[in-house]
Amino acid sequence: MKGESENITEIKKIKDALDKQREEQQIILDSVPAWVFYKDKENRFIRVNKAFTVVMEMSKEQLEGRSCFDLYPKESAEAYLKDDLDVIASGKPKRNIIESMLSPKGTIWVQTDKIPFCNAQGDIIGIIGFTIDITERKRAEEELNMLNKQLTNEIAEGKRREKIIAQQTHEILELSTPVLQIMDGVVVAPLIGTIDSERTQQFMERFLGTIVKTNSPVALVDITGVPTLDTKTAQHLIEAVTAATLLGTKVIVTGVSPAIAQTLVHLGIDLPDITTKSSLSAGLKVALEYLDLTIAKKQ
Amino acid sequence: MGVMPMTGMPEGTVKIESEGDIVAVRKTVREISCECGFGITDVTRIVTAASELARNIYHFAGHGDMLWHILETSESIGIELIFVDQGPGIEDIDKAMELGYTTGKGLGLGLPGAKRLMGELEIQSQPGKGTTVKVRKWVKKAYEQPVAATNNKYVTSE
Amino acid sequence: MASNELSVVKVYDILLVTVPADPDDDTISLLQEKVLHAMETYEAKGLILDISTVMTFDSFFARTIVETAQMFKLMGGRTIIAGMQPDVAITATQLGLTLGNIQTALDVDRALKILSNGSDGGNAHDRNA
Repeated sequence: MKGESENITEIKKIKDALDKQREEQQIILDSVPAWVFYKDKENRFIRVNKAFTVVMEMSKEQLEGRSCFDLYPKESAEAYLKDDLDVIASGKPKRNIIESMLSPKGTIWVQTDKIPFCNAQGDIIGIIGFTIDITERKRAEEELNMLNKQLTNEIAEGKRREKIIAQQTHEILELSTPVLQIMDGVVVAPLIGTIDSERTQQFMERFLGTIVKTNSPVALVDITGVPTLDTKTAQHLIEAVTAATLLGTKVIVTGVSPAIAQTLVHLGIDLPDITTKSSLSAGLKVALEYLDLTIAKKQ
Repeated sequence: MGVMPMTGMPEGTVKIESEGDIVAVRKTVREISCECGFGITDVTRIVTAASELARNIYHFAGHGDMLWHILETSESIGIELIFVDQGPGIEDIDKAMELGYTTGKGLGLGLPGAKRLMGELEIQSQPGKGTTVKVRKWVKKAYEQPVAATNNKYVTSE
Repeated sequence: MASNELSVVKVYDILLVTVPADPDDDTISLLQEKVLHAMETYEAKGLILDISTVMTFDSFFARTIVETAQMFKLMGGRTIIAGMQPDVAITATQLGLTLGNIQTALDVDRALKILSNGSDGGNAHDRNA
């Protein structure tokens, strides 16, 4: 008799302890803002916390024991089951599962971690899941992506425009330094505007290229349209003339106005071995003489 | 641009030990420059500068190397040539960079010329130890390239 | 470059040398020798160096050419350099290379005319520097 009552007291003590433990557990689970749930191997909720009941708008009694197939669309329920079974089979947790979920408030985005749930013997009998609502976060991410895309597009558009402007600038530069063959053997290059280093390179290539292509022994460079002739510009001009002369062409610089002549002398710039004339027509005369040609009236 | 040249490896070395190697330098540099997309005049500039610097090595140091790299930024492609020797070195670098400086054999060092042709030049030298000359040139973006005379609308052809 | 690719051709009393596209230093030096040797043999009055295929014109090349012309002049002949390419001319100018007093011509035809007539249709004294 005495042994039996001792056993009963023992059993009661253990049961009370277990109840107390379970109570404490529930308090902790219910205070966690994430949704916590225990599930078995068949997609059924064994235990849920308060947060879960709130989002599902169902009581604990209504949820515990229910299968996901009852609560969610078939595809979702199957996906949840698959994850559960993966965890149970591997014995390893599956973290950061991001998926959409149907809730009473509509479709939301959630992030879930699932870990194996073992019984007292250590066998895996289900999973414990922790889920948080990331709908807001996802929306913010998507907005950021969209803004990024917009920004990238705008930058690409900006670059495209830049390229067009540069191309047009280049074309304008080209138009303003034509190199013309005015007659057999004579090439004329009227320079207009400021001549910087970049433009000189461009000009030289076309000037010399044209001379060779047309096989012209005389080339005139007219600087009437060059507003200022400072030291730098004069150097560029000399470079172009020197290079052209190396080809074997006679180069004549025309359009040297009184103002330019004054500037050149004042700056102490010498145009060594370069024939210069004040006007294009004077230069043309020299060209004709050089080619032993003359313009005569028709008989 | 943004297209890598077709050599596969954007770098290499050419040894300079004989006069024939100076031509090898020219050939290699011509190939790489063309692949970088430099226009014909720029290719000539680069090859000529390389020829001068390679010849410096051969005449003053006897032997050395030219290392080359293709450089690439988001905006442009460039070529870098590094001429290295363990020769007598240059006493006065500043003077050597002056136009018209010669060493008495009638051979100019061609350094100011190389700088003019390439755009970027760096030099380090220690008398008795050797010299390193680095030069760089960048491709002008396509729309900045001068149009060849053959495309010139204003030239009347026979 | 094989040295037998470099030939000095005599056209009447004018020597014509076609310089190969990318000659090495040895070839350039050999050119000088061959020219002077030919001058000794033929006593030509003129020398035309056709550089229309030359791709690189560096300081060594320039120096040797200038020397050759000077030597040729001492032996009684006049040198004309023909057919320089635009990019070579531009680079040479940028490098500060000069050809001294050597006359240049657009091509071999014109060079021949200059040497034959003493001019290419223009004034005899109208030489480009």
